[in-house]
Amino acid sequence: MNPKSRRNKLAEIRLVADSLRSEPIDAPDFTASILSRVDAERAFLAPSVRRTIPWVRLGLLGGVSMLALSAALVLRYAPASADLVERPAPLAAVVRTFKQQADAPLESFRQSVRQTVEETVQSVALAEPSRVLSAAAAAARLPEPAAFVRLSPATFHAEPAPPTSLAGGAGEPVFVGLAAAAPAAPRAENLLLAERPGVPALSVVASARPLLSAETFLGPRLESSVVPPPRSAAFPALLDSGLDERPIVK
Amino acid sequence: MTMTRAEERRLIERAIAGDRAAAAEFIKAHQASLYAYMLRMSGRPEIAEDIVQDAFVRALTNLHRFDFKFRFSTWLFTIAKRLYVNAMQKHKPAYDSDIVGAAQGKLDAPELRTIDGEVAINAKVAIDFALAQLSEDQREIVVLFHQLDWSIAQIAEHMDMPEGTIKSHLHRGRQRMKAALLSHNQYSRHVAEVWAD
Repeated sequence: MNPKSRRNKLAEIRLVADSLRSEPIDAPDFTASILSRVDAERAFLAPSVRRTIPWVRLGLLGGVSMLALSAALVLRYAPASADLVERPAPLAAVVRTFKQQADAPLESFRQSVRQTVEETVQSVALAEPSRVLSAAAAAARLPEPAAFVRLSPATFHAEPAPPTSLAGGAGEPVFVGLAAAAPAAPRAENLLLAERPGVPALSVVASARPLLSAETFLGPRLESSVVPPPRSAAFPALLDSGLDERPIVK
Repeated sequence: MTMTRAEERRLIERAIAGDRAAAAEFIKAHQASLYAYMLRMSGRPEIAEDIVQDAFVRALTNLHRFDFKFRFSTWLFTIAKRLYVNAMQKHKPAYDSDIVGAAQGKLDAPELRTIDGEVAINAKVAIDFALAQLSEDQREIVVLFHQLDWSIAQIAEHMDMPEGTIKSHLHRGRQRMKAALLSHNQYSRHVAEVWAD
């Protein structure tokens, strides 16, 4: 840029600047009107109110923190109380409920069977225990399906049967603690139990479900019982694997 | 009235907190320049007044959204420019010295019908005429740079243009304005004097 063009440019700048600044623009004072409009839309606060705002914020922050802490503690130590809606039941609970509902009628059946068995056992065994054992031995060999019913915690014990009563007199009399009865109508001659107070119980855990046939289940037991076992030997429960196997002590 | 960025920030924080005095300080600091800018841009005092007030109200009620990386003036002028663009869709700019003079309450005053008054009115007419010859961008840049003393960088930020483009617009605007002033009879004597220096 030569001096002349530089001079021209400066003159041009001066001309424009001078022209624009030569005419001062007196702006009206809008302060009052603007402030009133702003105040209407977003109210100004008095100095005293503004001074309290930080404390209010601090208080709110503290309150929220305490609330969060309380919630955390509740969730940590008593999560169940924090459940506002019922949780869906787990599958185990559904199964348990279903089983309970299904067992309800079965339980009433068990009760009736138990009652009948007890009554029958008492009446029959007290009258002729040896005959009961013999009859039961015969019944146990029957190939017909049988249901093993749960006996009540009442103590039943068979009287020692004479050798002739079991296996034609070849074996020693043994205790047989079992019940073989038709589920719907247990018959006295199918019961192998006799009550004798004062003898430790043979607790036979209840089970009303059909297990095995009398022959399958009872036959070998009865046959083995023909072979004299020691008197103090544990007599296996005949119904379930989890049954009481306490030794029968005479 | 100029203020440092730190002062401006403190003032904004006070205004956000609801301090009326801080808001008033902002208005006093910027209303003259914003009004001059709007008057130069629109050529209509009544539009300039409306836009200035609306821009301040919007800025002060939305101060909590202000981004401190900008200058408050840049933000305020941007709001005002948007309002101006909206207003211009309804009204065309009118570079009429009668309107400008009437708005300032001087034209009808009998004492102004003196030689000085006539000269002043002639100058206004010439300036308005020259500004009217510029494009919208050139006019805005010339006003911001030569009248409001904004830097090139600040104008570039405000107009969202590269600094080189701003300089180019400024150069062309000045040339066009000079030609317009020279062509204006009432102002040509002053122009000749400037050139004679």
